Amino acid sequence: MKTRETVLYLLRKFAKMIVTIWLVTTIIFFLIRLMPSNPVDRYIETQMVQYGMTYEDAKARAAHLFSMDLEKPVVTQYIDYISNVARFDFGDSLLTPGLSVLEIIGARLPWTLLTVGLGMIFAFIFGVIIGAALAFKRDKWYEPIISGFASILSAVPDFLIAIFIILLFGVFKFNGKTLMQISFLRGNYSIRMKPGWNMKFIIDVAKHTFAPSLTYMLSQLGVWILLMKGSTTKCLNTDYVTMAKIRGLSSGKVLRSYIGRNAMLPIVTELAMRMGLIVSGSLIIEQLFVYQGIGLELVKATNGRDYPVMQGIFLIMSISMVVSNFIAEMLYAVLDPRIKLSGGKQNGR
Amino acid sequence: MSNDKNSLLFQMNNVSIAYNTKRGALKAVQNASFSINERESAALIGESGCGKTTLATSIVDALPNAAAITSGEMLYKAADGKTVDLLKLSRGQMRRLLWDDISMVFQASQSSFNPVCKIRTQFVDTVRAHRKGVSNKQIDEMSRALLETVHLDAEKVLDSFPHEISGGMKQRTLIALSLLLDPRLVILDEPTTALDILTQEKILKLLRQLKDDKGFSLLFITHDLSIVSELADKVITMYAGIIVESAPVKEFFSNPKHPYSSGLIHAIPRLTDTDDELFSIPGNPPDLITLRKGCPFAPRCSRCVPQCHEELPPFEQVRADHYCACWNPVSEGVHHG
Repeated sequence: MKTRETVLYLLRKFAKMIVTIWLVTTIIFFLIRLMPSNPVDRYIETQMVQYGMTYEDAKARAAHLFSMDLEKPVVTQYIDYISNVARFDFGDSLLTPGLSVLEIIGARLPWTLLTVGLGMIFAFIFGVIIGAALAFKRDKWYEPIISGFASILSAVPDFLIAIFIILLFGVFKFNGKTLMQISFLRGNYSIRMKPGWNMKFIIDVAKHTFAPSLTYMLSQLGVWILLMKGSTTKCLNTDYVTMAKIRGLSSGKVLRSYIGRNAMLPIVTELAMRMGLIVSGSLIIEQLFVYQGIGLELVKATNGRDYPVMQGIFLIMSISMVVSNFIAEMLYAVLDPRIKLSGGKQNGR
Repeated sequence: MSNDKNSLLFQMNNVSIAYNTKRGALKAVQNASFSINERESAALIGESGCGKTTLATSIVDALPNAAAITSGEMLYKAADGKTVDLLKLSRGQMRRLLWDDISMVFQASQSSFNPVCKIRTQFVDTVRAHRKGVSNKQIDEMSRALLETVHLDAEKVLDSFPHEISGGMKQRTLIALSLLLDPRLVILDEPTTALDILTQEKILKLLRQLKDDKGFSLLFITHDLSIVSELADKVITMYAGIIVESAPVKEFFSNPKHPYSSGLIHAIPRLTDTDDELFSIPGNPPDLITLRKGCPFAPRCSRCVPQCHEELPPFEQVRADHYCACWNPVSEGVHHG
């Protein structure tokens, strides 16, 4: 009975997620057609002016690139577009003809997931540990200093942190040497390296990942510290924690089962939600480190008006946001028994 | 039985507790002394904010961070006959003593359970913290037996999360939990507030019966004098952080010595009263940070003499088992007012 309820709930949530993604896709489709300078017309114009194409040729080319037939009525175009997207076919890139949008995303996204993902995981781990420790040491003199530092860290924009990291590791000289070769502060891997699963390449990639990951970690760390500190402090003062102590439970047990579990509830959800920001969180950092990830690709596509690529990346961003929200909701239901998996219906007390 | 009653279980001597506040030290409890015998049930009464809960939580070492015990001793006679001072025990020793010997149920029983764990887990955790090598099955049996004594559907409660059972059920579950390790002293902070009158009656009956069956001592905090008359053997009256009177329950009601106790008793509305107006004690309790010298009750007292404003009266024995701190105690037969 209970498993059936859970499965039904999951299915309902999943359906909701699909509907949200469909809505986003639809909005993107119409937005592109509503933009003041219609990108399709603009493309046709450019082709005609620059390459002397006839209108028909340019239009045919545009239709191919945007993977849409411009002769068809909008409704038919829309259906085509949706069915293409459903098959993960986002059309071809304008700037690099012959390369499909999916291939570009497939080549760039893993790099972003690597740097931003690593940064996020470390920010989460350090933030949770430091935040929880601070909650216990609220009376100590260093608590306001660390908390203040965390506040500053969470307020400083990530590009300033990136510039600071570049200066610290690549420009300032200590004993006549910089901490890292400046070449490790740009790109995904060294130019002469041949990509492959060998130790040399992996170490090279790790060195290149370090700076952007560190930047991302620092820009997130403050928020995690403050969140965890607040959450833990709230739990420390609850009646059930006092009660657990009076019951003579060992301090380790109280920390794990009574404080830890309850303090982590909002934090874990926050983590799942932020997973959705991985793709969009990389925009400025990747630009500063010339890191060939999805963020830099989006900037390039926007500058070059590569609409199919933009469209595809925007879709990926939206989808990852929706999916991570879905995961957050699932996690919360698993971790907190007060949230019922049966949805709106309230079972009697 | 009467022999048992005379053997001392817990004694508090001159305990003072202060809260560190921005305005200065708040003397929540001053020189509190009282004792509880084995199998005895003591009621701690007084107005809100007079330090009752602070005094009770200090026994189980659960004072808030801002509060500190500044002086005194808490002597507890352990099961092996040795007397220990709870304030001098190490953290580990105290931890072993808690719940096994002294358990406490909070006023906030509604939030005393970990919201993300089943009730069963919290029973198991409690036993595991004190007894080694007890199987889950044994713990289950212990818990079930106790929950059934408090008239609960044990199976259902154990498998529930705290939010799935009602307030009255939670209160009874907590009482069952407090008795899980057969403690010798149970402290209850307002065990029946927030409950309807029928559940309240049920719980009182239950407590009386459990106390007789299991033979533990009871210290309970209440505002309600009807509960005192039903459950207590001894009444301890607090006013503004000071224990002003400690008396056997019969004497407390028939012959209170302190004008404050007397005032409390007279403030109980009676069905037989023909007067339209209820008696109340005029004025408000004093600010515990800027305490003036003399007896704190003096400004509100109808029996006040000049000495009351000068010097704090000592807590003295007036009869067998009856102590009072007053310069001008209520004399026998004379009624207040």
